[in-house]
Amino acid sequence: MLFEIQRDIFFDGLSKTVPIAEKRSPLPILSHVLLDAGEGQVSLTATDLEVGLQTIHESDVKETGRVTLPSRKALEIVRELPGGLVTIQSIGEGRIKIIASESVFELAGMDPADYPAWSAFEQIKPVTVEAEKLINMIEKTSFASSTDESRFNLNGVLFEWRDNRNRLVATDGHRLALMDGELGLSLESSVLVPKKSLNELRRILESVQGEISLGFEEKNLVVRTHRFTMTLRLIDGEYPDYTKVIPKSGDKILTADRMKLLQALKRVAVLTSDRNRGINMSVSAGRIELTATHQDLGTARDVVDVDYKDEEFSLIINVSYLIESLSVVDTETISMEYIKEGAPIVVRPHPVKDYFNLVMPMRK
Amino acid sequence: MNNAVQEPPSNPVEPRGRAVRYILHVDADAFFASVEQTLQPELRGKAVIVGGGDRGVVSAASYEARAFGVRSAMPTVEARRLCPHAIFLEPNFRAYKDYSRRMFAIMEEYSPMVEATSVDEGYVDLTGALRLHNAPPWEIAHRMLDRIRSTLEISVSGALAGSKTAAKMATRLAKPNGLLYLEPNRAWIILGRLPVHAVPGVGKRARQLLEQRGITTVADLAHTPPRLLRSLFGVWGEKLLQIARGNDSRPVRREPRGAQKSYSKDRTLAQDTLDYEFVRDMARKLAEKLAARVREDGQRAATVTFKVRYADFVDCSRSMTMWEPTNVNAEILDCIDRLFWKTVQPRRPIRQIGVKLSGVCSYGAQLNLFDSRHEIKERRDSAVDAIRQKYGFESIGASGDGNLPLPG
Repeated sequence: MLFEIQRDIFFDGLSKTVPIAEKRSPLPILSHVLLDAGEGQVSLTATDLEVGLQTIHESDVKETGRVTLPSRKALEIVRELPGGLVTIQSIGEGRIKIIASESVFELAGMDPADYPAWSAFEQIKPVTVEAEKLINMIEKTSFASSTDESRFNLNGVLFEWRDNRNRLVATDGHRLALMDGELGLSLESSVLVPKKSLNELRRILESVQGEISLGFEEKNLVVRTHRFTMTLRLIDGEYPDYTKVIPKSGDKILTADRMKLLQALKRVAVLTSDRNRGINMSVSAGRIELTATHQDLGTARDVVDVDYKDEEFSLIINVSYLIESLSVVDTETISMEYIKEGAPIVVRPHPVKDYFNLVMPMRK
Repeated sequence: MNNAVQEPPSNPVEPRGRAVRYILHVDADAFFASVEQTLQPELRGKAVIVGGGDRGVVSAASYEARAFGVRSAMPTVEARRLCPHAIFLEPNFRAYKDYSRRMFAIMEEYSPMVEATSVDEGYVDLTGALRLHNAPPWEIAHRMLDRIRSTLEISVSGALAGSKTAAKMATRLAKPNGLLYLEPNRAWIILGRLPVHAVPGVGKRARQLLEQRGITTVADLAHTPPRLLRSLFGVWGEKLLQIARGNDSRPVRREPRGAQKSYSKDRTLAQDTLDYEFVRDMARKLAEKLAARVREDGQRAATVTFKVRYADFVDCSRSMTMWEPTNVNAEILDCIDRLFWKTVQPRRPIRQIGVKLSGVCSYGAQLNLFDSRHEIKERRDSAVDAIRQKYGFESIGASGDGNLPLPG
């Protein structure tokens, strides 16, 4: 195998793929990236068996072939190389040379035949989606999914197909976020995509504008452009029936300036502790009073003007949840709906859009 | 080894270069019995034994009862035989807690550096309070104990020394109702003469093992080669040596009042055992009792730790943290079951077990979207607690009791 590639292109490919390669894997080859030189192009592949990414780059391929490179070291080397052409050459016995003018590196690769098989996913009938639309739906929901590994079925975002629209739902059992949108991704049954993998997808899509194709196969969500293919392994688990916990509309609705409320929440949050993120929220006509008490340090109080005329109510709520919940709303004004004691608070953009989230309060 | 007093080895009570500290250990005498005698003055001067409870053992015996050989942790049957005329009382924990709180409140008036190690004993670091009181430390200690005695009308002892261990060991000598001051540099001349079981942590078994090797006093222990102690007691042996040598720089840890950080219980088995089913049942019982205390304090705990000490004094512990803090029996017992087989190694006789609930927080629990049964479980457990408090622990079965299969 022998090819030449621009340092900047090679670096870009490595910096996208290397973070995916497993850092501490029981399978050493997963800490390598696979280089596959074909006609006029080179692909880089990395996977941790949960997420896989293959990027494709133009290159002057003199001799086709496949090698693996220790991913971190390869990235470190190429980061330090000067701009210009880099030559990658396999020199036998699994050794690979990286040459850039006077700089020569020789690295030990592994047997590329041992690298996990990469399916071409040709049987998938993909749909075309605006990258931005997908990112938006992920951003509006994935924050609410759980990071507790013992609750693996809540570690993902649920993708559903309802009334010819796609619905994304995420919950960690304390809060829930839901968004309906037109991805055009018809599904026979709902699927669960891990939050961690979706974060990787977001990272990759940051540099992508325009359309991507999206498809599902039995165990993976496959996302593709002409520059890369990403596979996200689905979670095989039961999802709780979230429809049961979405409350019917109540009558106590307040609206508030999102930024003002968010800033006040961040201020009182200073006097909560990691152990206890609970703050007291008292709502009366025209105002919300927020108070926090830190056992050792002291107290905080803040008042925000809101549009509210109904009966007073108060509750204790995890301030971090509320901050995250308001942070994903993209309108200037938000609405908050109080149903009854012990029921979730409903946070929506105002005017209403096709997403909302729920936050369960804490016991008084 | 002999019993002659040896000059302490190159181990004065304060490690070189460190400033002298004044640590007062305060320990109420026969606390439960003492409180009962205050609440019911007609009991004063009489043999009072507080006990019964769930295991039928003596929780506390007044000094009048001790004169007949009654000791705490002795089966009540035995106590009755030794001292048939004694007045036996059911424990009244609420009152003891109240007296305990008042005792520590008095201690805190003299120095903020107060650490409660149990309901009736604790440490006060007076080092930083000398200037405030404009008095020597023994004077402050004397005033403090006198205040406790006159205000609460209970008997209390204490000792002032340069470290926690020295102070605690010296309190033994001060009891009952006394105060002892040990000058840091000479403390170990006296402490060295104490029997080896005066060292905190040395129980019946360790004492036996040490005495078999001629190590009968604290000074003997301080001169024992580290290798021998390590072979007898593992890592703990090294700690033991440091304690006996007076190398104890542990600070007095002030805790925010009323906020207990963890709840733990150890139980040394009557004899080393391979009966894991029995041990696991005991672990579950300890966990249930701790959970009841956590509930009573209106707290929740996130982390459960299970500890095993094998017959060879090797400790092994495992812990797990739950997704959210709880005080529900079923959830805590589930952790115990899961930890049990991760901790216990087959065919190794067990000597002692311990359970700890930590990550304690008092805030109202986060409500769940999907599971509303949590609250019901909590209420049910509290109801069980109430029954047990009235009729004893065994009066009602463990809730959520499901036996796991035991490996052959």
